[in-house]
Amino acid sequence: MADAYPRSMRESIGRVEATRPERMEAEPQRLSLEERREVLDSFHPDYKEGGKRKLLVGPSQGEFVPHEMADLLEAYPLIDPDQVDLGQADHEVDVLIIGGGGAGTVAALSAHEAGIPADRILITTKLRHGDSNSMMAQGGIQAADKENDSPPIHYLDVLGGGHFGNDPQLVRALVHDAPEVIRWHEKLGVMYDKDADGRMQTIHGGGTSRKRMHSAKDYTGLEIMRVVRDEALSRGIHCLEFCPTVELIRDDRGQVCGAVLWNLETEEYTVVRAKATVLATGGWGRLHIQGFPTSNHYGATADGLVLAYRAGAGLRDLDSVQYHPTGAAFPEQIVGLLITEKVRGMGAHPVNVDGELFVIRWSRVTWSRGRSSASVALPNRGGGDTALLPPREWWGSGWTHRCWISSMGRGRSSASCLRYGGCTLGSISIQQLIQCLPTPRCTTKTVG
Amino acid sequence: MSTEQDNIRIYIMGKAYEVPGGLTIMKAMEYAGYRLVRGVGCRGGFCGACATVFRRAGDYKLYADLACQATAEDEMYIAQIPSVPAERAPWELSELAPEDNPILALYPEVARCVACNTCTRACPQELEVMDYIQAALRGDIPQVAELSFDCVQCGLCAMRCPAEIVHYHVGQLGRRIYGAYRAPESGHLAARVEELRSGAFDQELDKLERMSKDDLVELYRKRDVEG
Repeated sequence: MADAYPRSMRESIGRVEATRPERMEAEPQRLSLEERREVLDSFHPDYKEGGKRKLLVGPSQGEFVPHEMADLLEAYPLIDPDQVDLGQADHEVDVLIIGGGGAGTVAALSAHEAGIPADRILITTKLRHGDSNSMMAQGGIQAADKENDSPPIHYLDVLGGGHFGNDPQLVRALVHDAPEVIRWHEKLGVMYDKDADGRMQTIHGGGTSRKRMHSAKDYTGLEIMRVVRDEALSRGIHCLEFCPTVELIRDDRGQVCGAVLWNLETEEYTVVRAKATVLATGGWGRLHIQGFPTSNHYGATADGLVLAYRAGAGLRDLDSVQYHPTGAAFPEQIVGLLITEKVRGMGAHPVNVDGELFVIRWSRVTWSRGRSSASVALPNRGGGDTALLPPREWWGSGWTHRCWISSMGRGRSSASCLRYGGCTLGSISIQQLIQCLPTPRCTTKTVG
Repeated sequence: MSTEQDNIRIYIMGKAYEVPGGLTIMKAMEYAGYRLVRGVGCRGGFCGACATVFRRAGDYKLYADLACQATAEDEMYIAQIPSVPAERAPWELSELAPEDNPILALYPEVARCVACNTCTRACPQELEVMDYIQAALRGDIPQVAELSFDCVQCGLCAMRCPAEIVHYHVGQLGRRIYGAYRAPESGHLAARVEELRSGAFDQELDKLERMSKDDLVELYRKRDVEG
C-alpha cells in the first residue's frame, strides 16, 4: 500500500507497524503538568523566543505579537481617503455585521430575534456567505449535556487545556451556554448524530474527561453553517459578498458608525452607515504565523483585528496561537488540512518516526520533541490502521523527531478524509496514510 | 507525487500554461498566475466555492469537480463557475408543521426528473444525487437527508440538470425537516437545558470561578476520566 511513498517513508511505516501490536495493548499514561511545561518551554512556538516583536504603534503598543501580525498592524491603510465620500451612504442599516461565517450569521439571527427587521440587518463578507472556518470544522462541538457530565466538569477541562490561563468568565459562558446552543441547533434542524432514542452520540475530544463531543457525521461545522445560513436566507437577511471591509467609520465622538467596503469585482468603495457594527471576522491562520501551514479558511487573514486596531481598540491574547497537533503535511496538495481530533478521540496514537508513543491521548500537549510532524493513520473501513509521512523537504534534514499518529482502526472512515485520499494520493486508496504536522487553526482573537 | 512528475500543459479559459504535474486545479491556476477572487474558498473541499468544469483532450464530454480537490491533468481545458444563481424556495422552518412534507409544493420541478443521472455524475462529492431527488418524489424525507448529507452546495448538479431541478436546495430542505422534526429529540439535552435555566449549576460555577489557581490545578489533577 505504501509503494507510492519514497523509501525513507516506507521504512518508517514499517517501524510504525512493528510497534503497533504492543501499543494497542498498552494503556498510555498521561503527562504530568511539570512534564507538559517542560515540553512547552522547549518547543512550542508560542513559548519559544524569536517569533514575536513589540508593537511600535497603536493602543497595544509595547505588546508582543507575532511578526506577521505586527507587519499588518503597523502598516499604512489600504484606503485612499480622496476616493471615498462618507456623505453618501450606499447602505443604511441598524446592524452591520462584518463577517459571513458562523459567528456573523448567528449574530444576524440574534439581531433578528431581538426584533430588528431583516432589511435593517446587513452581513458583509469578502468571500461568500458561509465561507469560513466554521464551515470547515469537522470533528465536533462540545457541550456538557450527558448525565455523567456537567458544565463545572467541562469548565475544569477547558481550564486544564488552557494551562489555567483562560479568562474565567469566558470559560463560564462557554460551558454554561453550550447545551442551550446545541438545543437551538437541534430545533433549527441540525442533524446531530443520535441513537434511535435521541441520545446524542458523543466521544472524547482532545483533553476531555467526559465524552462530550457532538458531531454531525464528519461534517459538523458544514452542517451547522449550512443550517444557520439557510435560516438567515429564509428570513430575508441580506449578505453582501466579495466586499471586504477596508476601514471602520467613526463619528465625531469616536464611535463606530459603519464601514467602508471594497467591491472586489467592480473595484469601487461602498459606504455603509450603521447604528451598530459587529465584527465577526475570524482569525489569522492564513498569515501563516512562524511559517506554519494552516487548516484555516482562505479568508482568515486578521482583517477584523486590523480594522478594530485602527479604530482604536486594544487587542488581547495576540501572544498565543492554537497549534492543532495533526494537520496534513504530505502530499503537497493537502498541506495544512486538518486531520480532525476525532481521529485521536477514536484512539489514534501520536507516534514518532520510529513508531514510539511520545504524547498521550488525554493530554492537551499533543506534540513534542521539537518541530515534530505527527502523522495520522486513518481508520479504514475494515478496521486495521494506517499512518502517514513527512514531507520530502524534511527527509534527511534536521527534522529528527518526526512523529506519526497511527490509528487503532476503530470507528468509520471520514468522508472528507476519503476525499483527500482520493484526490491527493491518486490511485492509492484511503487505507493509506496522511501525514501531519502541527497546524495553526481557528485562531479567533479577541478585541478588548 | 507532484515533485516527481514532469510539467503538464493545461488550458485555463482557453490559454495554455505549463504547470508542474500533480497540483490541484486551484494550485495550478495560481501557479499559472491567477489571483483567485471568486472560485476559491476553504481550499479543503467543504465550502463548494470552487465549482469547475473541464474537458480532456480528444474527449467531447464536459466534466465537473472542485478545483481545490481535483488534480490538474495534462491537456485539460478548465473554466470555473463563479456562482450559481439558483433560487431557494421561500419557506421558513418555523412556518412548517412537524408532519408537513412540503418538498413537492416548494420544488415542483422535482417531479420533472427524467432519471438521467446527470446530477449524480456531476457531483464532486460522489453523492447519489438522483436517488435523493427520487426519494424526495416519494416523500421519503429521511432518505433525502441521509443521501444528501455530504453536499457542499457547489451547485454543479443544478447547472447540469435538464429538468432544471435545484437539487442542493431540495437536499437542504429535506435535511432541515429531518433534523428538526423527524429525528428523535435528545431527552438528556432538553433536561440539561432545563437544569441550566433553573440555575442548577450556578453555585458550583461561582465557586470554580473564585477558586485559586493552585486549588484548580489540584482539582484538575484529581479529576476522573471517562473511559
